[in-house]
Amino acid sequence: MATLLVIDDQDRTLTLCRRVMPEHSWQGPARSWAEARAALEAGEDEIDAVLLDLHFDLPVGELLGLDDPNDPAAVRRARQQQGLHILDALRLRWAELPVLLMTARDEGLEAAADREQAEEYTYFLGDEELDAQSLRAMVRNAVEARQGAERDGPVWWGRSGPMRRIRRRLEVLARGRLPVVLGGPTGTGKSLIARHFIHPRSGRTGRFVAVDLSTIPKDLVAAQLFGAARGAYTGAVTDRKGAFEEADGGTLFLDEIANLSEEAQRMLLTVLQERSLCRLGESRERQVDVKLVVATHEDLGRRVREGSFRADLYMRLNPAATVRLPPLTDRTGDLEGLLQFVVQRLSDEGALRELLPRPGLTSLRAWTRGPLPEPKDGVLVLLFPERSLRELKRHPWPGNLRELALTAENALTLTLAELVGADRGGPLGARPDVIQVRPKLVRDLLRAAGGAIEPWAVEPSVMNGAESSTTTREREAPASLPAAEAQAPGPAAADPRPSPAPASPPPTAPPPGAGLLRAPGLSGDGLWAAVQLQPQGGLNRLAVHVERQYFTALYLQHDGDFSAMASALLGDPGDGRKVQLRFNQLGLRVRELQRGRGGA
Amino acid sequence: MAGVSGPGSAELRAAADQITDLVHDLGKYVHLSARMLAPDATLGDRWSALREDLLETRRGPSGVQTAAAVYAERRAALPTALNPHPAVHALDAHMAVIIAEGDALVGLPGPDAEVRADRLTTAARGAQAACRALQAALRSS
Repeated sequence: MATLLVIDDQDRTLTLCRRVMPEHSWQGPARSWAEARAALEAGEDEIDAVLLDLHFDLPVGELLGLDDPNDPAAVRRARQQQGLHILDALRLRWAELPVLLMTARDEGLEAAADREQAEEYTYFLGDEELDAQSLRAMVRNAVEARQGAERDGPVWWGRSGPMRRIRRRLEVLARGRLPVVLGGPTGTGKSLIARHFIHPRSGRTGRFVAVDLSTIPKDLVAAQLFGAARGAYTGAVTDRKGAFEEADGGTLFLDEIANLSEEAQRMLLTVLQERSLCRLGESRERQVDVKLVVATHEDLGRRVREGSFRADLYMRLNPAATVRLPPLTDRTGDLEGLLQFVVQRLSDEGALRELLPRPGLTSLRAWTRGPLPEPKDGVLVLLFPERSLRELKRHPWPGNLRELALTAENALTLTLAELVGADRGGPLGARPDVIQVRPKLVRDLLRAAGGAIEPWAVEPSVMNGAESSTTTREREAPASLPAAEAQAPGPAAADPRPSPAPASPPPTAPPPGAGLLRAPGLSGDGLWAAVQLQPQGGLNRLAVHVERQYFTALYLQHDGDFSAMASALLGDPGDGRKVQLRFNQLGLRVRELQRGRGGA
Repeated sequence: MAGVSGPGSAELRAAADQITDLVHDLGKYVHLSARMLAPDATLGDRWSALREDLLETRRGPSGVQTAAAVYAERRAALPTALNPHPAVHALDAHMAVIIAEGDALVGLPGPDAEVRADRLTTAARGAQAACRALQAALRSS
């Protein structure tokens, strides 16, 4: 099924289309450009094609392309060709939306389509073709041409207009030799696109190598990128290849390019110019051929103007072809598809297997609209009712896809945990394979995340794809977990973050503002944990901030054993699930902490 | 139109706007629903389609116009120099049938409905073809 908008000052075309093609959803009629624009803006993510009439009997004030309203001949011409003026206006903003122009193709009209360079999206439907079969075929062609392009892509692309435009652009850029710059706010999926979209389309047989420049100490960046000879610096005990050599014949993705030091910028510029490099401590030149993709959430042009980024390197990076990924709030139409993607990934990873309510269930599936799917063995359907979706669509998503992934995982964890623990939110009537993700739960989660913590600073692996990088890439450090916040007395007290770099050992003392709190009147033998206090803009947020640190310390103290934590907190090891529930509510993630323990 | 006597290209070009309006307002809609019918459509379906095409030819915010009313308006706007044009002749003839018999579509199909529907369908198709012929002549002029 597709959604089509009819732009026509008369009703009959719409009536006819609804009757002849009931399989599609028909909107309209939009009787003027103003109405058409409003309809397209309202349904930007949903409208698959437009049926546009040519002749509009509109009042003078509503006509596009009218030079002289007092000239009857000009008014008549504007009415007779109003469809073309509407097409022109539409193409400025929706360049790739299929438009079926209800008139025969002739030279003048062909030129009208060509001048917007959108001829492949414009179809001419003359009177002579206007029978049911032709109309149906024409609509089917237009819709399939549009949807077909989407079927080729992974679901996280979505169907929103911005993502469709980006996709087309990247398909071209991926094949070229020039670097690709990915911009846009944090968490919008830049690395995902570099790895899963650009690299496979680059036509290169070499590896995809990713380097996150924000996590590498400045003095190690050159060795990481360009390699080093034995003895080139203290600790260089063997010859080593750099990321450029690792990616030779493939794609090199440099994340957070704005973090490059001046010296590294100079070296990178030389490599891009010469297509060769010398490892540190060597004079031998090595040829390298990589497709370079760089990403940043910063405005590189501004950095150039400020003098902190080399203008010549900036120009080499092909800034004219920068692709900016939109924030999630600009593609709310994709939200349901993204939810399904996240749930599918969680299911594939087996992340929630322990919480599945009965044996035999092996996979999860998110469901957001329409009649429920037929029950399937082993599949548990997580139904997001309309109100839950509304909550999600209203949220500002400052952390973009990362935040969405984390929220979805929390929502699922809590839904499943509630089902087991409190006998609530259970199966829907006769469908024991369906569980509802309650609107209140979603609301509470989003409210809890509303600034007290910044879960989006932690990159959830669910958005990273299944393949692990064989590179120097490190996880981002959670901005909300300062180095000392999880320090607790005892051997298990460790920085829960992944160790960002060997040159940055974990601090041994809490920073200013952190310390052991020993409130008057409180005593006992329980765990004392160092917490960092920072203004949080509200007592509830402050409580979450402190509690989160305490739970982190407790988790590390008990080696991730929720039963032991329950014993310490509630006096009952059987309440491990309750503790885990709270742990998840606080936005803490076992995988992140385990990684931190491993790296400590 | 080569080989046909009648008005020349100058008259056609002078009437270009009127012909364009005629084709759009009448030619496009006079045989629209009926031609979309499936081959096995019932008499009731055919009757409804003809009613839409001939009695609700134009339907929009400004109201409903019958084919007869659209024709009267647009035909009056055509220059008299076009009267001898064969396409105009054909249009007049087909519209005469529609004007004479179209009112029957207001009621339910009667005993002669099948025959009447055939006649009206032929006339509507003919009127549309005549509009197209006029447009083709205009383009080639």
